[in-house]
Amino acid sequence: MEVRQVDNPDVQRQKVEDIISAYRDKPGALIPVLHEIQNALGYLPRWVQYRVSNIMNIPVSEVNSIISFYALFSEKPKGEYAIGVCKGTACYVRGADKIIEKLEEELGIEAGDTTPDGKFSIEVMRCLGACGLGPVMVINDDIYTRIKPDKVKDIINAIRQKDGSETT
Amino acid sequence: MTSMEVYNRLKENVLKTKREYDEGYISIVIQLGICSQAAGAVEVVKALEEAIFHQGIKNVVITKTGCAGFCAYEPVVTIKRKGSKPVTYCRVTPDKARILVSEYALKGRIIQSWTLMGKDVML
Amino acid sequence: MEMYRNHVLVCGGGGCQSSGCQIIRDRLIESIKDKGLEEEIKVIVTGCMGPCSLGPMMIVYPEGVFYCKLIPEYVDDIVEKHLYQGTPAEEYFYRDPYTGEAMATVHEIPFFTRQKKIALRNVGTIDPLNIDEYIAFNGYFALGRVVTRFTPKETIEIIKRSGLRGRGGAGFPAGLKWEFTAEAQGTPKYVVCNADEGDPGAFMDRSIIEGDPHTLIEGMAIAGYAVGANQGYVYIRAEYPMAVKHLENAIRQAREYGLLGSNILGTGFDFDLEIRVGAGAFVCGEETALLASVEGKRGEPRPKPPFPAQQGLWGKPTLLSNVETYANVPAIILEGPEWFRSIGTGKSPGTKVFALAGQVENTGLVEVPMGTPLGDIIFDIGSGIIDKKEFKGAQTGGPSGGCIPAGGLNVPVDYESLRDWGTIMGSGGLIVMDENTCMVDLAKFFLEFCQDESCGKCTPCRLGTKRMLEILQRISEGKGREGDIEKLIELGEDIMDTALCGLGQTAPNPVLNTIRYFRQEYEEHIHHKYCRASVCASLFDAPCQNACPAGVDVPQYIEYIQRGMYMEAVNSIREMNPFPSVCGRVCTHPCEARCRRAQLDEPLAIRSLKRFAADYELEHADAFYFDLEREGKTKKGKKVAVIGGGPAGLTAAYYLAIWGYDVTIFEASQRLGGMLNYAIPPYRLPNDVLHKEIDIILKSGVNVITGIKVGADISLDVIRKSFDAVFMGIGTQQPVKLGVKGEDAEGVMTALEFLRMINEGNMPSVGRKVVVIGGGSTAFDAARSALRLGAEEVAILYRRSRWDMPALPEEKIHAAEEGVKIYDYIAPLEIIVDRHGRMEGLRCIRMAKGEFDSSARRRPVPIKGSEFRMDADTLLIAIGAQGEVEGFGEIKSTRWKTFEVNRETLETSLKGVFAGGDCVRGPDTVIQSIADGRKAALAIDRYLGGNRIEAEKARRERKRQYFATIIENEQSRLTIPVLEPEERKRNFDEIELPFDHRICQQEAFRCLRCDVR
Repeated sequence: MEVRQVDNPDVQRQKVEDIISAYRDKPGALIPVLHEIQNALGYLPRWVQYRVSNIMNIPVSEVNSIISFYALFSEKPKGEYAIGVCKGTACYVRGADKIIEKLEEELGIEAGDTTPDGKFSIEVMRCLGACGLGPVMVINDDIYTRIKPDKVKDIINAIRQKDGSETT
Repeated sequence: MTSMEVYNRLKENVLKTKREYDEGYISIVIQLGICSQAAGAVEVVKALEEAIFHQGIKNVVITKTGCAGFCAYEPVVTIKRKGSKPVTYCRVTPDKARILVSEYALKGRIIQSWTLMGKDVML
Repeated sequence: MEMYRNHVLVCGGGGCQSSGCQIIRDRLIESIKDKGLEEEIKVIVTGCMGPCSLGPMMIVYPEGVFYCKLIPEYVDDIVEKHLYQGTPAEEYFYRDPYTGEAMATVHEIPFFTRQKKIALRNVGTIDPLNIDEYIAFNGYFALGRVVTRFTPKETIEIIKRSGLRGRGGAGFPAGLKWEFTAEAQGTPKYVVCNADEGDPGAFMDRSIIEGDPHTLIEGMAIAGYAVGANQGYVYIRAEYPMAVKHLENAIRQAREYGLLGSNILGTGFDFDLEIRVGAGAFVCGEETALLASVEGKRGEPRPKPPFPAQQGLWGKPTLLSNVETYANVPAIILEGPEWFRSIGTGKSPGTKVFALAGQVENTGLVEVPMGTPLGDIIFDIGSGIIDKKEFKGAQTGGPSGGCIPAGGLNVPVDYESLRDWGTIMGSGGLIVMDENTCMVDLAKFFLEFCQDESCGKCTPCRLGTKRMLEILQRISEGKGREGDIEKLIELGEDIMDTALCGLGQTAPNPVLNTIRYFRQEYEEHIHHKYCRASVCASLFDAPCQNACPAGVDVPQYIEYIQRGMYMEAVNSIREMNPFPSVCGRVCTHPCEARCRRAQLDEPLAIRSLKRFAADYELEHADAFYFDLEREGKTKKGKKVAVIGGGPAGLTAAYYLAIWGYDVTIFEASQRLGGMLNYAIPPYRLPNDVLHKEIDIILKSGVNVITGIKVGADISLDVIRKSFDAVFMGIGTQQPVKLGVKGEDAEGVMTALEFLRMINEGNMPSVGRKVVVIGGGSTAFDAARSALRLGAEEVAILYRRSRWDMPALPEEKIHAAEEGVKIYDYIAPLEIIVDRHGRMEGLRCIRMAKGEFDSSARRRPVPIKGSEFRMDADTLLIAIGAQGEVEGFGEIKSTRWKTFEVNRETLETSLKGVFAGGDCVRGPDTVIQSIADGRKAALAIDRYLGGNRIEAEKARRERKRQYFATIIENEQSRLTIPVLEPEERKRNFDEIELPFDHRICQQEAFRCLRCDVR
């Protein structure tokens, strides 16, 4: 999933309005709308939920219940490097658990959380369908296949190094 | 489409173009499912395209298909050329891809140790 | 890299070498030179290619043509025809042993040949982004034919006749579903496709949509026409962005061509499609939940009936099927229902796509006719388990299914057969598991998944699965209680009966199913706090230690080796195993198979490290003093008799003696050591090493009486009267015979007799051509010993595949290097005897792969008419051994001639008489016997009022910490130095050589110290 974090609040607001109005008259459009907004913003903050409720004429409680029901919708922003580890059966049998453990150890956070500096987040994902290449891990758009637990550290360090050289 | 005749005409055309392609072109087929991408197929496509462009080759086309299911050996590249059996290469890297273009397309050689068959028989 | 037109591979492996491949190779090179092809053809000599019984052989690449059983004359012909003229020489092709058909190229490997592609017919062949490509392969012709030639009713009739069943789960007949929807009252009607492939481990729907999206569109449009719907929805997972993109593109192109939209092909039929992207909820795979989600609501299921065919999307009649089902439709219309019925089985026609994943060599997507045996999918198409490990089970049906054990490998895969095994077809995920998967943990994983994905609407699913999960949690943490298994079954059955939808009703399946087939593993977790797969982390310190039958604390002694404290290392080993030198040489090292280092590069060479430390001790044996704590300073005043001086008996005696018991060993032969002494040849285990080790054991104060056979020279009763407890470690002495004609001829001998003579220094004479029957260590020991005694040719015959041979891989390699030929799939029928009563040959028969047995190996079946003669003058039989269990009064024995014992205490049916090792297990490994010996010692101690078991528990709590930095970079394991084949194959010198302590320490620092947490 692409994450395009638009920082300017006005731009964000305009984007949200555009998306909602494009779907306004279609039946059962709530889920597609939430998808697009999350794609644009990276997550679904409270104010978005109110706007959706208002324009689409759906109670805000229902909007929120949809968001909490579906695992892919998130009310929390993800890290700049959003790490997802597939925990489908094939990946599990090939040791996805140990990958998650190593990530948690390396980043000092638990799966589902974001590091305090907002750089990394770990998420346990449902099957990504790349079962032949497990265990599979996704960092933003990059897919890592056949990872071994002992390689996790190297992958994270490489990102840290790249990130460091970009900011300085 | 307004009728079955239109469909049949269209199909004729499609098949004709296809035959012409098969005659004159060497086709490089790369599987590009999401799992192939995870295994690095996009980089391989890039390398293939670059190599074809840089070497000024005109008669090679790249076809991107879905995944053929041989996940353990992705990325998989098949080179088809009229009059000879298609050769399938597996676990192709960008470096290998560049060599495949220059060696196969230009010189018609086969690098056996990169093929699927090379892997399977050597227990 | 040099480029050649052709590469020719000639086998130079052990088998072919002696069947004359040297001549073939020379002739080939010469012939290529004659034709002036040296620049174009490269000849490569390879190691053994496997099917040695076909040697000498060669493979010509790139075509992959396989020539076998070559003689020099063929070679010229092949070079002329194939390499020079370019046409493969068919007369020399490899022929399939079953059909006799020539198999020309390796394209025809089982991964491809065993498949039959219908749903996947275009995937991987066409460009999914170009509708023209689909049309070139007859795309949309089926839709055209249906809308112009058939009525909706006729269309439904075709689908009904084809027998197509829903590919997403329970296999409901698709034609009936179409009919119900068509006949239902209410308009508009809808066609919906379930592409919410939630089963973790299945990805065929993704592959079809990514690789051939138009086939789904066409199938849905045909369905729309048949049921009277003008609008379709594809509900697809958000985790599949590429599939969404490809489908969007395909829908756009189909609209542009007028194949979607209004008035399709001028017939007045309107149909259009819309995509709905899911948002991550497994329950949305359930049909009513999915429809709710398409409507934009929470994806919660509702009770059925009404079924979606009556009241589906927005309350209207809705046809709902999955991707694979729709993908079959165009093919059925094009080829006809009779064609479709001719594939697969009567009740389940057609094919099924499986996503083969997990610990299998060829992971991938495979489409096979229904009814293909499960084992064929895993072992032929999938090429077996990674690293040839042991198959444990295969999960079908994802979290709603179950795990089929090795006994089910012959199951024909169709809806009904899978249900009989307590699982379901599901969407086609097929996850293969090996010995490293813990079944309790697997059940926990699936239950966690369902618990996580439960929508919470009904109580049984929400709370019931939670209760079950809590129980599994505590079992895997070593806190399992008596009755937990029964509680799981009870809860599970309740949930199945009362949950609202399919998710809840099937959630307990994986638990119930693993209890059904792997109950013993649950019991081990609960009663012994033991996880055999080394997965449940609370139950063990390090996987190597957990894997060792004797429970040797491997990380501990490796740490001592790192510190250079070799004596301490040996003492640490000796706490559990009094045979460090022996095991350092001949142990089957199950520890290495579980070493976590293998995930990084290669497993630690644990056996060799043990050997190094033990050698160090032997070298300094003069200065050797026990510093093991000796409780026995004050003798306990109890007497124990140990019958049999093999590894089990010596081990029991050793521990009992140091714990203060008065122990006497009764050994029937003149020397101690049992099989170590008689069955293992000196080049693997030198006699002096063994006897030095036994001397150290005896220093613990054990009395030894040799030359007395209990049960013959003295009765067990007499011994029982003079001792407080007895341990029986009498092994299995009686070699099993072949049971064929001519077995008493001169030149025929069992391998055990043969090896015994060698070890006694009474070298037997062998003929020129020696044949060994069997596939275990004893067979290899006999074969290699025969070579050392001067045989010109030695061959091992085995009735199954070489991969099924129980001998260790290193033994096979060493034997092949020395020139022993290995022929698999051959069984002896008769020994041919000359008129002087001497053996002169062997009549054999070739075997084919039959069905799977319970050990996941294929049972060999004779191939009719394949009998052949093999000249040989010596035959060594190594097909097993049996115990002599008679003559011991009332001790109960089994029909396999082993003693019956209590699994926990090793006590026999006679009070105070314990037994362990081979006489209980049948022929097994040294380390198992050692483990049994110690286990029996503990049980005897307890029987005699001791409390060693408690003391041992306390010892488990050892503080664990890193001693120094671990080598984290990839570094290959130490290569064990061995004598060159030429130097070793004519004498009995030990073939493994000692190595330097620096190398040893370097290796020790590769240990990842899994025990430190």
